Amino acid sequence: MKYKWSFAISLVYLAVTLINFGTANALEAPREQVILSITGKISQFNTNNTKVELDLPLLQQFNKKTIVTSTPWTDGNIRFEGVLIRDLLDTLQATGSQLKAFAINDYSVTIPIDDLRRYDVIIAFMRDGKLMSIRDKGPLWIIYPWNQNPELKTEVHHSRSIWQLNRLIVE
Amino acid sequence: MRLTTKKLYTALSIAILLLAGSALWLMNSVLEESRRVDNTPRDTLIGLASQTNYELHQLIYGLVEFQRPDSEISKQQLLNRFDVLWSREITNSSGAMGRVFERLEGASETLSILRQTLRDTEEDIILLEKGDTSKARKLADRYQELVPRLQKISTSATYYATDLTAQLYEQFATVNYWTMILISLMLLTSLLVAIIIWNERRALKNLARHLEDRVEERTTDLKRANRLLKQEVQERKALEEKLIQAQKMEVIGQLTGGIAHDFNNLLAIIQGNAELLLDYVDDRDKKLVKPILRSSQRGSELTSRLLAFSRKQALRPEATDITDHVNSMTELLDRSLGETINIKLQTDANLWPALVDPGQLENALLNLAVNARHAMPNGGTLVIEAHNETLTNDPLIKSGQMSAGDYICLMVSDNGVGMSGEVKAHAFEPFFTTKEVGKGSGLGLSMVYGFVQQSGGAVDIESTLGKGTTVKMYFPRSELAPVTNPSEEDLNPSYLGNGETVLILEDDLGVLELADNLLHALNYKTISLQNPTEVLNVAQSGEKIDAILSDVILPGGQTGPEFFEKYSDMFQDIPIIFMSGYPAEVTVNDTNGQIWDTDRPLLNKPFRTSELAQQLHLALKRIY
Repeated sequence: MKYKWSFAISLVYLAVTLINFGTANALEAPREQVILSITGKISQFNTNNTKVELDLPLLQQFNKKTIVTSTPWTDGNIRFEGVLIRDLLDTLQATGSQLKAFAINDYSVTIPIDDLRRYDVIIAFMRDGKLMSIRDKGPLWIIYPWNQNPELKTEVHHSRSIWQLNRLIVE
Repeated sequence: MRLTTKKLYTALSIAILLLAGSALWLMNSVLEESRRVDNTPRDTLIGLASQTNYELHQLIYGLVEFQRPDSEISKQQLLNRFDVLWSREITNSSGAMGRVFERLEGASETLSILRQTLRDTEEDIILLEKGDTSKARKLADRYQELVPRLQKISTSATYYATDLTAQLYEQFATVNYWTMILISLMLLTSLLVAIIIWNERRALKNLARHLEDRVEERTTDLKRANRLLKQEVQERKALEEKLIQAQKMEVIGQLTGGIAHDFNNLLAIIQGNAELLLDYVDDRDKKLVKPILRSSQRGSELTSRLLAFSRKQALRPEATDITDHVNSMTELLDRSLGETINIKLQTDANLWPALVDPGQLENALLNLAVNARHAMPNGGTLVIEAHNETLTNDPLIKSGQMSAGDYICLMVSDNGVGMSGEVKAHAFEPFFTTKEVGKGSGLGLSMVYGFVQQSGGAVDIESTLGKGTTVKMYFPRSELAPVTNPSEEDLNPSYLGNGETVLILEDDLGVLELADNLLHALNYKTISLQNPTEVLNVAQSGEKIDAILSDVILPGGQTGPEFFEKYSDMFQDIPIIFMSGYPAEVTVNDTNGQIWDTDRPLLNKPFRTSELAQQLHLALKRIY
């Protein structure tokens, strides 16, 4: 029942998004606290025609993707929910080849766009059905589908799994 | 050799299996090791430690900075830093990574202190207000205490990573060492295998080539054997033909000889009596007697030719230079053969002397020349050729017609019409002729045949229709030098006796009477006897005997020569003349073969008065 309702809400959001795509300023401006800002080689903006700023509701407008996987930093399998990064980039009509991701503490990593095309890499905002605090590596955490693709269980890919994410630059 | 090879192969197989196993093991351990090392967070561990360190400093810096009035750090940012540090504590103590981290020296203790500190200060930091300097300093000091501990953990992480890397390198070094050994062994094994394969291949190739050679050799052998067999079959066939021919000729010869012998005795009586009659009858009756004489003489000639064919003529073989006789014949032949015939002589310069009756040789040559002339009605070339030949394996020898040895080959060739196979098969038979009836006797080649055979040689005909004919005569080589012909004394019928006593031994009464009459006519006294016993009686009676005329064949189975040889004591110094109508008789039990001893006078029956007179004259004068 609840699922149905969320589905209905999603449909409403989708419709709104589709209508907004028709105008020059396709994305809505954020109303709540901004949790992710995107700049760089993108063609869609919602703030000052220079960047995209997303609050949680805006982020949740995108198709939700769930990945159940283990990580080297957690115990047992965890159900992560978030949005596919490639969906986000497609919506923003991004053109770059790599993604520079920054954390709250200014820690940063570089992710090749190729990774995102090949694998279902998500920006997770929920862990086992709950939003994530900073202490729990939230509010956003880039998650690779390690369990589904064992070849991703390498230090390189582990290092790209940045937590406490708050900025993206498409390069 | 075979066992050693088998052992070697087994050893090699085992070695290869061992090597493969080792390689597999090596690869597996390398993989496992690298997986182990890869799964162990080394750099990440350092990252974790230093990051925690960094977050700690950020918080301390944030606390210090937050007190300043112009601080850019908001309360929220400070809280974020606090939360971030807290998240590090959680990260460092959970998951696989956390477990590794906790193993670092002092990490567990430090983490629990950090945890405690975070909990203790949580409320203070949340409630911290701008300007509360002392509280902020207190907090900062509290966190400052953690710095050396975290620093130590960072160092430990670095050591740990370095240690792990060193281990990996050590492992790689070991692997490298074994790989070297393994590769060398593999190369060695490959080399051995290659050598073995190469050897096997070579052996196989050799075997194949050897087999091919053998097959080829065998094929060649078989072909040769086949060819030889064919040749032998042909030779045998030819030999058989020759043998059949020879046997046929032998039979015909015996038949002819037998008839001729008996016939000769009859002729001797007719001729002898006719000759005697000639002395007693008047001229008118002589006209009647003379045809008898002529006929008997012609009959005698005919029988002598038949005897010649049946190899029973009296031959006087002597060492003869065939070249001389051929040369002396040329003029006669030139004249008698006519202008259309060209005569070519080809005689070897070093021709051996032949043991042959020269008179008969000339006769044979003449016969062959006449035949050749007949074969060349439109003219042609007659070639008379003579050369030496040593025969060992000739068909003529194989068919038993002559024995191996040195021969003089006399060939008479024409380029005339040649003979068909049929004609060739009958060519030597008496009375066989291709001439018109009445033109030829059919005895020419027969005489040649008998003469050559009797001389210890052989005759052969090669002929091709339309190409010509070659008759080859082989005469045995004489060990003596050829004698130059002594000028023979003419047969003189006036050789009369001086009343000497001649003992006649002849079982045929007719011949005995003839001889008796002839001797009387020649002025000899005679003792005519039919039996050898009577001869012995006469000899023992002491009666004077000047000469003996004896038949070759005596009643009682012994020959004249044997008889007189046996009683040579009684007949010492008495010349003996043998007479025979059948000269082969004299060869019976004669170790000299068919050749009549030329020292002994021999009268061929039928003989003429003049011959008998001459023989007796010469015998009494001891010319022989």
